[in-house]
Amino acid sequence: MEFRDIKVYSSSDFPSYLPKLNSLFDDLFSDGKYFRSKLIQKIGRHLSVPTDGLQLLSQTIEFIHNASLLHDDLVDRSHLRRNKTTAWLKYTPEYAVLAGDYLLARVMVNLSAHGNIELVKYTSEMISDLLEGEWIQDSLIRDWDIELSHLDRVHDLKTASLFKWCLRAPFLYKQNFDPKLHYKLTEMGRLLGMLFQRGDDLLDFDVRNDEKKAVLGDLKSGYLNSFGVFLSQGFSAGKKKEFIQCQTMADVHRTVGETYFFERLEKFDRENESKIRLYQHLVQGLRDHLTADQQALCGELEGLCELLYWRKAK
Amino acid sequence: MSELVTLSSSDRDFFSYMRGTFSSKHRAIPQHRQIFAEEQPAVTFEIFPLAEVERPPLWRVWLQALRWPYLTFSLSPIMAALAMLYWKGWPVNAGLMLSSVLGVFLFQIAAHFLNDYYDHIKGVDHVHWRGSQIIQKGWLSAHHLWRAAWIAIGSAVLAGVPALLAKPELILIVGAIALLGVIEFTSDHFGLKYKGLGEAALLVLTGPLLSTGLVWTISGRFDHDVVFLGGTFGFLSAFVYYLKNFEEMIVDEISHRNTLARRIGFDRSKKWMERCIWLIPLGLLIRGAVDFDSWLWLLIGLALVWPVSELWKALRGVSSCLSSKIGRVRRHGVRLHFLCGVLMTVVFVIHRLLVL
Repeated sequence: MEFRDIKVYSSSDFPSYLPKLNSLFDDLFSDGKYFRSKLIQKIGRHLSVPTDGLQLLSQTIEFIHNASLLHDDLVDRSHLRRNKTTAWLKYTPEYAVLAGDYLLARVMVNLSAHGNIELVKYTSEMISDLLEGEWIQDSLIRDWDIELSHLDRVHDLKTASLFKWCLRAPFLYKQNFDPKLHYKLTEMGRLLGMLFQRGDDLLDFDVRNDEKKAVLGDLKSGYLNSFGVFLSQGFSAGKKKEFIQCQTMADVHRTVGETYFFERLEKFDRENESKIRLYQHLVQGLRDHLTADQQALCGELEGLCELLYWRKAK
Repeated sequence: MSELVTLSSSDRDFFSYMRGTFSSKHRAIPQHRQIFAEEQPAVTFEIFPLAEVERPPLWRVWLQALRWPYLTFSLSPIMAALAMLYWKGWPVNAGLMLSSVLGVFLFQIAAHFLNDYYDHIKGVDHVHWRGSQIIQKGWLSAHHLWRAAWIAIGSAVLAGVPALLAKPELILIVGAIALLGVIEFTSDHFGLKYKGLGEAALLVLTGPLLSTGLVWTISGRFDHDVVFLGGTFGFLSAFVYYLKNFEEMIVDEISHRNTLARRIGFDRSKKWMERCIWLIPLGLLIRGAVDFDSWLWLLIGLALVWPVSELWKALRGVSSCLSSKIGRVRRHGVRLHFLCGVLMTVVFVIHRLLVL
């Protein structure tokens, strides 16, 4: 499907007298898939959100997402983002923090100028959740006995909060505040976020890694991701110690056993398939809250969860 | 193959799905909840044929439903109180002893079942890690637990009949308080635990009330040693319970449950617990030092210093409510409670045998 030519960032959005700010943002916004803003536009089109509304919402979500990336990279001391030197390393850590803060402040300026108080309120709650998720995740570095349910809570705050916003914001923009609708959208967003994160975590173990992302980055950074937790359930202390010291996938296969690895992967996929079915069930339930000319939205949303988890259309 | 069904509470079949009575051949597991203060909830259920539910042997399922490690809350003070009776050489009515012990045990079991039942009905246990998870895994229905709880309560009341006949005034008071405690503690209607008073309730129910009530019933006597014993266990039970609420702070935040831990917050709770845990051995040491005849308390206090220090060290390592270490600290606390019971029992019995 074609997307309108929505530009989420322009150098004229920020003052030119602040040294290095615009070149930092040029670097930040020059790449990226803009998946979240495309999702906003997909939904907004069915709800007849005007172009300036789509611009506002798309810019909001990309500013928040990229602000979190700026801060994330500094917190994790990452050297690369989208195959480029991270902002904190290329400029300074102080500029990376301030640039992230500036994006969040600009979001508040833009939304409050628009005047939809429910949207402003929800966006500030979402940012708060995002930061809470970051905070808690940082406290879990080198916690090798973390449980999957606890990680899900972190991902719900960090990853899912953005997806929930993408689903809910267009309806809020159109002044549709139906609580039952929004709770359904919240649950859908939660599942989208969970499955997107789990799909991303599988890439770290070189599973369906068509993007050729670096493997075992999470493990080497001291973080056991969702598949790592799932794979290492029931390991003895010794085996876990060996597992967390793996540097390559060959090490992983040797430590856990290749057959065991793929058996666990199959079980992980099966569990996540049931969540995909739940999401699709919720999408169908959404029809009760949509007008006749909005029903096509369900068709657009139905395959999303599968796409985010499997990383390609099945 | 499972299917998904969404029902709102105004649907005729809603509660039969929640309680598991809608079918004898299927289990309905809630997948998510809509909970609003002003709206009625809706729930999406995943319906499985019962034959497809992977379940361990039934005895293991019920053992998990019993939450057997937490039975130390009643078992340990009972064990220690009986050992103290033997140490003091007080007369014991064996029949009353058996029926009273059984009654207490059954009340605690009923509390565990009701707790799981109400948390499921309210949707709190849906957030993965609360309770025994028996209902969430489809191993038993909510109705099974409800029925088992009331069988346990009925049996506890029946077991209390001999004691009621022997000491009617005491049993009426103690029994009413215990029954009220079970209901208020587990139910959301009165919600003692959700008003931040759960720890205080547990301290009393599994502490001095339990020890003095039990000892007075079966021997007709009690003294300050019995009250002190009860106080020690009550404090330990409240501490372990606080640890559990400390661990579940984020869940309580989501579901707006106003526990004491949530009110106090993570940092202050941790500091408070690190200091208060030392009150256990300290209290015993002071008791033993102050009263020369009670030097056994000194011995028990000294023996508890090392396990308490291990728990203290484990607590120091906790960095967030979601840390894996926190579950370990809680299990440590439960073991400490049981160890306290075993220590007291062994010390009192051995001393009595040596004196004899």
